[in-house]
Amino acid sequence: MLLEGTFPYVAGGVSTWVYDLIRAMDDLTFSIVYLGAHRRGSRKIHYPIPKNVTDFREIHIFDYQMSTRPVPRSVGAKESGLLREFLLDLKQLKTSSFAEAASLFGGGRQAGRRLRLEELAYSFDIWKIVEETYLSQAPGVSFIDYFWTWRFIYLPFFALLGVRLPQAGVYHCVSTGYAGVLGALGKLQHSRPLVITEHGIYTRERKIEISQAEWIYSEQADQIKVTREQDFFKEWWMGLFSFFSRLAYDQADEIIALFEGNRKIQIEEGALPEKTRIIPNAIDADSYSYHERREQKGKFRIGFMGRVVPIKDVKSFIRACRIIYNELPDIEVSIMGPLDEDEEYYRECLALVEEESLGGIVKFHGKVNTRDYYPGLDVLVLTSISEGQPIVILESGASGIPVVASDVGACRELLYGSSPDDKLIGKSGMVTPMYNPEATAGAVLAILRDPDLRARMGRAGQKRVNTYYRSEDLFARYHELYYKYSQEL
Amino acid sequence: MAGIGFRIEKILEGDTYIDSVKAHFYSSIIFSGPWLVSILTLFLISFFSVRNLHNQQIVILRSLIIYIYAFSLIVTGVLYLSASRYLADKLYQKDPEAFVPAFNSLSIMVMAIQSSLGWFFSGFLNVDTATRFLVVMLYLTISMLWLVMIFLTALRDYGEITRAFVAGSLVAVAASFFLGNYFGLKGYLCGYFIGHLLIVILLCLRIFVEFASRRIFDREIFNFLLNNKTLVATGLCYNLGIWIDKIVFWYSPQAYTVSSFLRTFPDYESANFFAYLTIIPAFSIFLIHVETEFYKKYRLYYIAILEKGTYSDIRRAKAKMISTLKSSLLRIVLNQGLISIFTVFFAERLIGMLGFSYVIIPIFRICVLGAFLNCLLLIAVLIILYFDFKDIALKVTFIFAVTNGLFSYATSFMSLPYFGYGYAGAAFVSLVCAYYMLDYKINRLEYLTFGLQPLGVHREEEIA
Repeated sequence: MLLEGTFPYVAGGVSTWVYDLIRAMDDLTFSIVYLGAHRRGSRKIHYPIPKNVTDFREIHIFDYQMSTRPVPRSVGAKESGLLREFLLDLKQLKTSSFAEAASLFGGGRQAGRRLRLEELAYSFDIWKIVEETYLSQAPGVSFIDYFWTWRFIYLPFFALLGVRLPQAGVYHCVSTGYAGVLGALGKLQHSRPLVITEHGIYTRERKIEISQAEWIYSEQADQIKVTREQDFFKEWWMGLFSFFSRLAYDQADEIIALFEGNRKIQIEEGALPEKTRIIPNAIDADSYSYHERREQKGKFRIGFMGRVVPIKDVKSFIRACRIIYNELPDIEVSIMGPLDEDEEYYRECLALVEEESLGGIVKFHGKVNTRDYYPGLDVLVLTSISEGQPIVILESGASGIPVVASDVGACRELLYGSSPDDKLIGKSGMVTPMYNPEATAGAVLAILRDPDLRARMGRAGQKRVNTYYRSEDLFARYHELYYKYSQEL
Repeated sequence: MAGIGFRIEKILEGDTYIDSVKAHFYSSIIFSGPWLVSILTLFLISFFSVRNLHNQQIVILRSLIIYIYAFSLIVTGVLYLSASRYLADKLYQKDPEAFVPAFNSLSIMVMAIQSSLGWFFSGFLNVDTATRFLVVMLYLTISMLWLVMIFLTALRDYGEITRAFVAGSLVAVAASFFLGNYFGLKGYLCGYFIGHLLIVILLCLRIFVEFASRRIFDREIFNFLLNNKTLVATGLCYNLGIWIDKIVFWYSPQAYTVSSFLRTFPDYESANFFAYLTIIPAFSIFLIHVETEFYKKYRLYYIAILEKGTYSDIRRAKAKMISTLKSSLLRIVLNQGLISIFTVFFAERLIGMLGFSYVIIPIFRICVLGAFLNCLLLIAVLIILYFDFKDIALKVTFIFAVTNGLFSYATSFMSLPYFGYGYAGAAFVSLVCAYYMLDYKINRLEYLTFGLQPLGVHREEEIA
């Protein structure tokens, strides 16, 4: 299993998914390759390593081993020709020269490298390639920035292409990106199938990050030029990640998305439709106690589960609460989720609560054991501006709580059903447009004011989770996949 | 992954680096300065000593002084580039307090080495203890003089150097002449010693006054020397290269013994030394031109890079730099060429005017040509150092030392008119090598500027 920036060093949804999956497959053994950025990053292990993990390796993408003393050596004409071709293909998202390129760096079918990293960094022949690519692709941008970006983009990538992967029956990447590159290498080196599961869409996530990134440049009079150049370098990085995804998709035997929306994006990004399939997230539904909703006595309780960060748009939720409060003063609002990930944003949220005079109504609980809190809720709200397939909707469903969610990610299919049979189960909540406190408030009010609707939605949610989102099913499907591919010769 | 900001170390750090290169360059002036200084004083002494010394004593005095110059320069030569670059680094780190401790440490090193060498070798001379003592003292003083000059050249304090030299040389000449009346050879040595000691003291005072420091010694400089063996070796090779032909001729069959291991070959020495004086104009042209024209273009090249110029901006800046360099060199070749041709043409008259033996005219002529080539070689080495191509600086100076030794050895078996050919041939061969090596490197300058940048960089952000 090839993991980038998740299990076991980073806590989160994907890591928990990996952890649960490995533990459920106790008749299989796993080799894990963990990819991190730097060794000096977080070293805290958040999950115990399950017993059936027999091999654990770490690769730090930006800590590649290489002499820092320049040792110019010459590179053969054939090698530099291959590299030139590979870089051109890379720009055009063509993956056909990958196998041969990998053999240059030591990650090919046969062990043994033809180019050392020192040669790639310092040799004159590689310099000629940098010069050529610059002149053909970006003759107008700052050369010094181009040069260093070239090094920072390609050297870690080339270093990664020298990795020899452990033997496995099947390679499973839980993202594309650098992990996807390793997956493609595993397939190449050992001729074993490659399965990719993407919880989010790697290229899309990178794109958001890159476009938000602030680029450090020294002051320059010509501001327009800087902007244009930034765009060039940003596009370069994005192009790299698109190539990574394309490479992983091309090499994969099976590409798994969590829900239909993401599957469509994968196809847009170059995945062959016949390789794609959907295996949704799942929960251990039986461990959630289902409550037939009580008749209304006392206050309505509205819940919000998620980290207090901008992407969850907590502010829209707070504004919606104000509108609800105007109509139905008898409410209690709980915001459950870590407060320390973006403390600035948390302070802004607190200020907003004050401003809207919701001081006694809205409570921040911080990180809690969600399971204990579901029974006390009448409705759960999700105002995220970006989501994959949120587990909280599944958990709410299992607990029989209706959900009002913004129309992002898989929220719609989770609440309204995806297949025709699924749709027949009925709605287990409502989707509303994002950034729209009025719509959110309207939906919440509709649910709170209609006990019958609440009960119907609760039952539908429970049925839907029990039918389609049971973790036993998820494990069974992956188990089947692993068996199928590891038997294959 | 957030933005990838990079900080590039040293070379691309900013103007300060360029300033330090400039300092590196100035410090390498010291390559030629001491050599010319020694020739000038030698002429002065020879001129005056005729009046109150016997012929035999004059010959001993001359040989002693030449040996002292030769070996003090060769030994302290190891510090020329290395120590001056260390000082330039300290200057650009804005740490002038490092000067005095570095000076103290190096002085102790130089004194320790030179006094052991001096006492050891002077033991072989057939002279009385007082003379031996004076010889060693003079040897140490002259060695210290070269060391002090390294420090003052790093400061580009040429005015101070000149004033101290003028004062010291006047004292040296006057004291030598005066004491020579009473004590003969010893008097001359003593006067010479006093004059040079005065120069050293004046220049030392300048350093100590200017750069008061709380530290006394500096160990870092020794590590620096160990880590910059190429520069140490280049300094050694260069001075060895300049002297090796004289040394070879001293021990050739034509030379004669002055005393113990002191040998002399006046015809060759005089011709060679005198020829050297003819290249002073070329050197001044180069200095003036580098300061004004070439340095500006050189700086623009690095600015084009640092200011995020496009590749074509960089290439254009480089082309301008190279063409300026070429036109400067052309100017030197033309001007110095004229002077040298003129000198060769009027060699007989010049030699006659200065009262040298006419025998040396053929040697003198070829030595003038050799000096012309040698000065171009020196300029090439300076340019090489300017670009910080340490490896070829060492190669070129090494080639010069070896060829000058070998060719001179070979010609020393021929007859008199051919004696200078070894030197001129060596200078020619080395110049051709220097030209091709420099040309090769400059063609790859962009690559050398960028491609060989070590990856000792800080990434400010990471891919998450």
